[in-house]
Amino acid sequence: MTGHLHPLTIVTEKIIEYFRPLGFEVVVGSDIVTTEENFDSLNIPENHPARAEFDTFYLKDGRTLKAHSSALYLEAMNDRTPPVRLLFPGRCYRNEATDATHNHTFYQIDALVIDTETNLGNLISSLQGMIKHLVGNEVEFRLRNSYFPFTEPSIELDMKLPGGQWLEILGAGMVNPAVVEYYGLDPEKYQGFAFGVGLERILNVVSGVDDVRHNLSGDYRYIGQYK
Amino acid sequence: MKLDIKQFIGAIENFNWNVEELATNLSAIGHEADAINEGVEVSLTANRKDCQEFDYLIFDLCALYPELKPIKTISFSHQSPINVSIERINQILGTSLSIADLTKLERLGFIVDTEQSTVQAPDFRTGINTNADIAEEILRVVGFANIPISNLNEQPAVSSDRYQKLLSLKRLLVNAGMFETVTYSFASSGKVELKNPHSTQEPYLRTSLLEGLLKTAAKNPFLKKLTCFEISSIFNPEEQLVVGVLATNLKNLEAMSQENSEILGTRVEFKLVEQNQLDQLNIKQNKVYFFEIPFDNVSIKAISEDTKLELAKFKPISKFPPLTRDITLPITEPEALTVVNNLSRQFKELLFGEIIDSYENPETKKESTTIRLFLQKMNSSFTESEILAIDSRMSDFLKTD
Repeated sequence: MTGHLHPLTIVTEKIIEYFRPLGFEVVVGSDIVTTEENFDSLNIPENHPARAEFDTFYLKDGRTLKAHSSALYLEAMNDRTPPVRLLFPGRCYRNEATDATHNHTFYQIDALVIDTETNLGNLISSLQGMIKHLVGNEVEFRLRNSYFPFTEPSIELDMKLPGGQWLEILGAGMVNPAVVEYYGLDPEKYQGFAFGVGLERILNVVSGVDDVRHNLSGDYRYIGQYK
Repeated sequence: MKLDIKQFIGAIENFNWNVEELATNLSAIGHEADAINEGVEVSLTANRKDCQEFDYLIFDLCALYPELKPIKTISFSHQSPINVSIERINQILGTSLSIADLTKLERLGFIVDTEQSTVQAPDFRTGINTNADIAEEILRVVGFANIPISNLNEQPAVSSDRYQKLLSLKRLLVNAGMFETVTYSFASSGKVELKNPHSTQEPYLRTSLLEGLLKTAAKNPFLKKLTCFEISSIFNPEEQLVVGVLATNLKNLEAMSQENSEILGTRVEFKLVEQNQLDQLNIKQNKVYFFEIPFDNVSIKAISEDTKLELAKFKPISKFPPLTRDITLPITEPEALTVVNNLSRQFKELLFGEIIDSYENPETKKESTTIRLFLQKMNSSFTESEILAIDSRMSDFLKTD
């Protein structure tokens, strides 16, 4: 029989493949995280909508299922000192209705770089380099100012599709000084960048997968198309 | 905040953008906006009070697009001065700005004192306290085109043992003919309960991968013989990464157990899944076996290959069941792959084909290969006459190919 890796595994490794020569370490983390890991350490205030039960899954013991791979930063930084270059692939959960573009269970890969010199220009180069590695060099980008509690400045990266429309690909930014300080580091000395990207979005853009629910369907007609 | 384009026409002297252009330009300067009919929906973000007041939105728009002129003068007060380090801002952005460049912030309503190196934010801009906050405002004014792009320097490889072990194991299992599946964590029973489950019928986190793997079998009734695996977390109640393997229509249980034990570097034993569990999920396959072991118990012998993985182009999947055909030909495996490629050009119904078996006669050394073809129709199931026609066309094609 011909065996098949799941397309989520393939796309994860394709992204890691780009960052490996740049000295990135891949961290495999858990699904259950504390509210400190999911929110407090990421400068997400108490009244932020993301904390609400209509967004985040809470366990009866007060812990949460991670709503983003960024929830793994704190544990990783508790065991490390800068300079660090880290990747966090993994399963995330958000309490939302499922349809062709949303699922309550989905996959992301996050990156975190902290040192004394990495700047916004390095971030932009890394993001564009990663996308070009996935889709080829003939791609047009657009950057927009944005807002995330854990990055400052924050940006969003769009790419132009063959039909001419712009599609938002990912959010990113320079790590917010409050987050750097949370790790016990001097925010006037240490800086870096972070980004998070949904793997289902990348599968849609690179491979043309038209429905995110295929990924957890177990349908061999989907998985069998990939090697 | 929903805004009509007429409001912008009434507030800006020389406004001539269409709705889409307005939405795009608002988003570009940090006010998330979508075009809706004859207006825009501006999303509120946690730190931007100016998104909530139309006058401040206009002020921001005209500040960052100098060709626009506001009709009304907007007055506002200012907050306490903030000390700014232009060196720190340059370090964050990767730029070479001078202290004089800070005066660009005046367009956004800031008061800038270049001698004291301080800025005062307008009262409608909260949360501006640090050099990083000022860097974000500078970025809005100077634009991304003026940020020098530079690559991260290459650094020596760093060991990622757990991830490499995970990927290596997946490749070994795939090389043994299994397919990887990914299934949901929620379950009808368990030891870890959710406070706000997605469904009241599944308020727990799973304690085993079995149900997910059984659902994978149920999803593929057209595969009589199926072997799949998943490596994912279970919650018993502690979270634990485990490897689960499900095999159906198993002929030689001992051989399969032995093969998997060698791959995983530890003894595994397949257990028969009870018929009532198969019936509950309407599973069509017979002789369904399963094992599950902690990932930490796996001892990989081989290291993962260097072969780079590629993402195929996805072909849409029909709502209707596929037609599968197994064909054995007196050809080698590479020749069989060529046949599959040729078939896919001739048969638009062909979703994909793959090798499922090969044999070499020990005496004659002649090879034969069996390929499985998955065919589908997007708008209905195949009728009997359509199936006969496909079989006939395929037979004719293979005779000539």
